[in-house]
Amino acid sequence: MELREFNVAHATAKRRIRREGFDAVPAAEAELRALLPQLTSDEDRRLAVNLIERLPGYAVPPSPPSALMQEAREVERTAYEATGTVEERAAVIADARRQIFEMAERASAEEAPSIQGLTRVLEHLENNLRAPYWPSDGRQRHNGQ
Amino acid sequence: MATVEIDPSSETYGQFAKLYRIARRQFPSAVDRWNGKLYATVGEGRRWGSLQRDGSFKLSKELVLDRLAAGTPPHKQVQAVTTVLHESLHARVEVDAPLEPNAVPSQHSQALDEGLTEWVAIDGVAVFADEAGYGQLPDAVPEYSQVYYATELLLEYAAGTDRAQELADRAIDAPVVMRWDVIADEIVKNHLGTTVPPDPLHRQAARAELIHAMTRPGWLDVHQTQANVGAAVAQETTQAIGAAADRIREHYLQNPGTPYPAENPNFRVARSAYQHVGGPQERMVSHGELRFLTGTAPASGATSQRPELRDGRRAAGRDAAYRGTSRKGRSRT
Repeated sequence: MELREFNVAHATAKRRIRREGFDAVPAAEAELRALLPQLTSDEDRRLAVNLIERLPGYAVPPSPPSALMQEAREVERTAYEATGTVEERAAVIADARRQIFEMAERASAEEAPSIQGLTRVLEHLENNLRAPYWPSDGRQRHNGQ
Repeated sequence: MATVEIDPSSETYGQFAKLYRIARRQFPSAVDRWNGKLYATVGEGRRWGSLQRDGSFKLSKELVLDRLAAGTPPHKQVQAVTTVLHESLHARVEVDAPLEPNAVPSQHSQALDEGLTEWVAIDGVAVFADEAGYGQLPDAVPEYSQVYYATELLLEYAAGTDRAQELADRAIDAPVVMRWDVIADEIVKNHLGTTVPPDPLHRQAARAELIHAMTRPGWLDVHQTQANVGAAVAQETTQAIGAAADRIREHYLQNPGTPYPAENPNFRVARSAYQHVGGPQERMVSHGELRFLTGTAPASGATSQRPELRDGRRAAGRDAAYRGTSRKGRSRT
């Protein structure tokens, strides 16, 4: 078994635990431990055991977004909805990225990277506005949708 | 802000290259679009960067490359490591498949590409970081959140909750424009398996109709916003798939011997009796064969001598795939 295949099984177990909670952990651990002999190297087995040990953590619900995170998402959403020329929209997006980075500076060390991460989408939107690679919908020319 | 090329003999380059090698070990592919050049944007710290159209990587020194170093706080480190894994995954597949009838050459495919890539990167980063020597980092947070969740709901609709991960893992081996076809194939198998005959012409036409249904306008923007649209796009998509499945069932009640009269999603390919109509599995293991892309069936045995994995993928196929093509990709988003 390739490590990648084991990781797929682990991710499936992770999602099941997130849906079902702690009660799903023992069965998931047993299922994944049964796969360990199929891995082809000691290094892959070491990595797989470490993945299994992460399973109980997935039963803990994630914390709700903070007020600051919600504020940052609102800035991001507003920037996305901006209208105007390409340059005008790009300028709005650039300003939103600046604002979000400044918000991240006020966030906790744990949350700041996630707030900063919101700008990754905005950055790509800005890039795509200025240099689109794809047509908005190539099929439109074909089937009239 | 300045852009500087990173010296291949430097520690920064070595660290990135090590991560890239581990990504390729964990996700093997014969396609490697990285041209070996690594650039850093320096001084601004407010642009993350990506794989570029020329095959180079351009990444932020402050947000990504510096945070790969030991001693970085774990939440920043896992974000940087996930970014490298995400961008490395983009470099292991072709973007286009111009002669495939079910290719979707539009921004819909870009959105799905980002959703799938982020899905796989989020799930893969724990073991990726562990092998790279970072130990146990916190869970990564998806940064393309709406397309991530829209993709998740689509995968679960197509394959069921316990097989969605396998479908995602299979789909990211396909060229970017062909991921919809892989998902459509799963829908045909799981939702229309007794309706659509196994004949390749019938299957391709059914997948084409489902692709038209799936590529809703909402996907054009879903990868570009964090607003709460992912679930709405997924709901709209699954409703459209259901309606398309009903049309296909109705068609086979009336015309059981005739493929569904779907237009090719790829507007560049006129529908003809000679178009390739093999399944997505075949494309993934032999996509690079030029004769295949020109519409001729793959050579006998070209895909048949590889051992089957548990989920039906062919083991050596990943390494054998895509030879003969070297198109450079687009800048990633």
